Amino acid sequence: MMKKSIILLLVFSLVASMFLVACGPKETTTTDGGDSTDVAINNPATGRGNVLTIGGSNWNGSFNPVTWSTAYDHYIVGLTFDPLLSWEADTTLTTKGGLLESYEMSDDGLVFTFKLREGIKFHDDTELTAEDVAFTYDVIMRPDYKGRLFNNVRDIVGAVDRKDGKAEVASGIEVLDKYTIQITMTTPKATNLRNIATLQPMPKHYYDKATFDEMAELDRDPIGTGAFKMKDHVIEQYIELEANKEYWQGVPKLDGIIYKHVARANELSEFEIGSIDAVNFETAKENYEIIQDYEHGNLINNWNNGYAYAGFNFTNPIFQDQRVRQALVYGVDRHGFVESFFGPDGAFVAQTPISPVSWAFPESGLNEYKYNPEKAAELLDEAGWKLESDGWRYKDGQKLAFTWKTYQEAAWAVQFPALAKENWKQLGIDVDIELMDFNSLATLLTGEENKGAWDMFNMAWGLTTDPDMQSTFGKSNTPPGNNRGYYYNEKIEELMEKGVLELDQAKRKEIYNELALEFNKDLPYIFVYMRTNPWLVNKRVKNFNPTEFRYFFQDAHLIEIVQ
Amino acid sequence: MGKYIIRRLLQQIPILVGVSILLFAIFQMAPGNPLAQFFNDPNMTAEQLQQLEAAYGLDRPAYLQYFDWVTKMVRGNFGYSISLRQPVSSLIAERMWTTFYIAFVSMLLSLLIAIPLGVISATKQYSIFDYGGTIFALMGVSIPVFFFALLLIKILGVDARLLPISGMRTAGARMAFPYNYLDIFKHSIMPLIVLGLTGAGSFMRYTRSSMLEIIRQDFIRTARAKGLKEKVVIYKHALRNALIPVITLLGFSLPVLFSGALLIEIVFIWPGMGRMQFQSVMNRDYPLMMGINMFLAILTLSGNLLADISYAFVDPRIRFD
Repeated sequence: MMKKSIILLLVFSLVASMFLVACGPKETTTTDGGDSTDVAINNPATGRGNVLTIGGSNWNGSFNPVTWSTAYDHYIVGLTFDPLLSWEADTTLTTKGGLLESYEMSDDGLVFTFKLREGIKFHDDTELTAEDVAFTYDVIMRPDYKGRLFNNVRDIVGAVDRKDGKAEVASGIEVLDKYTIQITMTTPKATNLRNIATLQPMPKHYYDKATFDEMAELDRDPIGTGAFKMKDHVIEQYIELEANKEYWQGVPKLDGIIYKHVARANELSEFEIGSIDAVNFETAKENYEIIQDYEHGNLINNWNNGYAYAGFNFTNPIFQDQRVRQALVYGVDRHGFVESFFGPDGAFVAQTPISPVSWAFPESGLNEYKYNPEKAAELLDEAGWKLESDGWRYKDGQKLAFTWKTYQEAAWAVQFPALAKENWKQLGIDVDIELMDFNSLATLLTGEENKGAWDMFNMAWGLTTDPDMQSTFGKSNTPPGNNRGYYYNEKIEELMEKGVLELDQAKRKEIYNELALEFNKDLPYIFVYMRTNPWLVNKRVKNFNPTEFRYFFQDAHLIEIVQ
Repeated sequence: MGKYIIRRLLQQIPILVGVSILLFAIFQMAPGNPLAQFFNDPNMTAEQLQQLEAAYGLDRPAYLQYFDWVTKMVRGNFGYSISLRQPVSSLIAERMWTTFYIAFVSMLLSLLIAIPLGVISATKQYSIFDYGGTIFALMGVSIPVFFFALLLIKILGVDARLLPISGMRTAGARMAFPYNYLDIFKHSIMPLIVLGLTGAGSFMRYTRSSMLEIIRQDFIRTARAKGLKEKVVIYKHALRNALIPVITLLGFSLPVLFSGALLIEIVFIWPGMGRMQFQSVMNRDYPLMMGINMFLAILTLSGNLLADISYAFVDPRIRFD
């Protein structure tokens, strides 16, 4: 008997010591503070030569400018293709870095004339012509197109007929000569130029196939005009790109770029041991703490252009009262949640559907809705929801109770509703939380027939460079469109319409500033957070400069490695 | 024997038809939509969604969609994945052997550890070896794979820097003949350790219990009585009989060899079927889900057949005539 227990003890101590080894304090070399580069730092990445290795989540393999759907596919598309027009850090469109030499818009804002730079070659050594641009628009309009970009070309004359199969070509697209193309639009919108000029032309002779599926089979071997071209694609492992020596903006300074698939759980470890040079790591409080130990890394802490929200179902009378919505926002501790979840560097509380780095964001006047249960109770009383002796609120015999559907794939989506439930319970509001998978939730919300089946939900939006938000809040976009809460506000509807049709930038700014304040007051959503989009980049890499609105791959030919 | 195999193979055709109808019906009835990947795009409009539904043929009645799928499938065309946009058959083919490699080698490793341990545990029941082995098996079964994997990465990959953290090959390296395989082997050591050790536990318990049952039987006593050496008794007479249930287990493992190890693939970035299968379900990628599940259904049926046939070899009492 004695013997047995000794063995058990031995085994357990062995196991325990394994844990201790793993969790014990790490030996860190102390530095003299500051990030001066003169101090020789031990850089584990230097052995890998003049190739930039980026780590990140897996791609889908749609390296095609008109079908990509994930951010990682977009990296590869952005490195291998160029847009017609590029844009500055403040989102202003520019010919610098774009394939257009010049462009013109007619006085009525309907006709655009694009003039291509001459002599630009695709990776297979054929020249880029206006036919390729016309083809790129046409692919998106074809009836069997299976991508997300139709909205970009929808306002071109004849696009809808082409999509419905009533026309062979869209009459609004006219190739004038080898390098000139004219596009005619149906309505003069401020968003028109951005919609059609930020697309990346694809070589017609390579991609023009009888069916969409056949074209999609070429997705893994993209041929574009970009600074880098596809060299090797090992499924779920890495993508190897090599420098395009003929690049029209100059020979890239790197020999190549490798995009390496790394696990979320290991992304910082991979950076630590130097197997990757740059990583767009997950925004989390603990990650910001970990990277402070990495002497060989620089943090680029940009804001992410998007926000997370909890939406109301406006077909439910409870939520039609603005005071109730304001009470719900005052009544949940968003600031405390964001602080503990993302830390001080990772996110801030969102107040309106516009990113603070956008020109459309108002300089002042936004209500912060700091956690204030008293104020919330006051608003609820005012709205007629009175606290009864059983601890819940009632109005005309109806209890203040509803359901909140959320999804399990994201940690915040599980934790935030739980916090709201706790906070609101103290105010006398009874919330029932239902956890689903993302796909089921999205399907439920997108079905018009399900509008009685839910009261609240939460999700996140990624925003485009233009602040237009009609697709999310416009009355014509209720499900299956993106206005999932059936939101309608006359004043906001008018302002959104004005914002799209106004062509003068200064006046547009005024309109969107006003919109931001209106949304902040009317609260179609509980705006939860806007987070950062942080990059950790090895100090040996220069000119790797993603900003809020510009991707790292714009000007990729300038990225350099200094040992 | 030949007749038996042909009869069994013919029986599998109606079974597969039934399986395909069942799978198709379950996938259709489950909530969700293959186009949900588009729902979270702020630029998406209802008009576009309708166009996409038509382009993917999702607006037609389910029985027509099934009929369409079957007619293409019997001609070897499994269709295109909705989320990955590539032919389903090539998506499966390009992950099949990497999945098999890691599963097969780790299973061998498991058996190499489990069978001797199981035999020793059984023959020396209630000894130190038995308790040690039982604890080992219990640990293997109960340690979370994810945790074990991250622990190994921390110790061997980050602290000691002996092995690469993840992946199957060194990114971008072009290696000549033996080195490219050595590279793959080096990358597979950690996943193999995790899968081998965690898998060994259950095999060991099976071997132990079936061995215990066998060594109490009369023919073992007879063998000992006629003066055979203990080694021969155990390893020739007892073990061969004790392995019969393990063979059943192995037969059922055939689809497992190709279905992938989800967590291993996620943590170690191993290109395999598990992650793709998981993603296909999360995305409701109907063609891909059907393709993978039909592939696994065929393997399950073949595995059963193989197990039945191999009984004939290990167990002389079984004859298929």
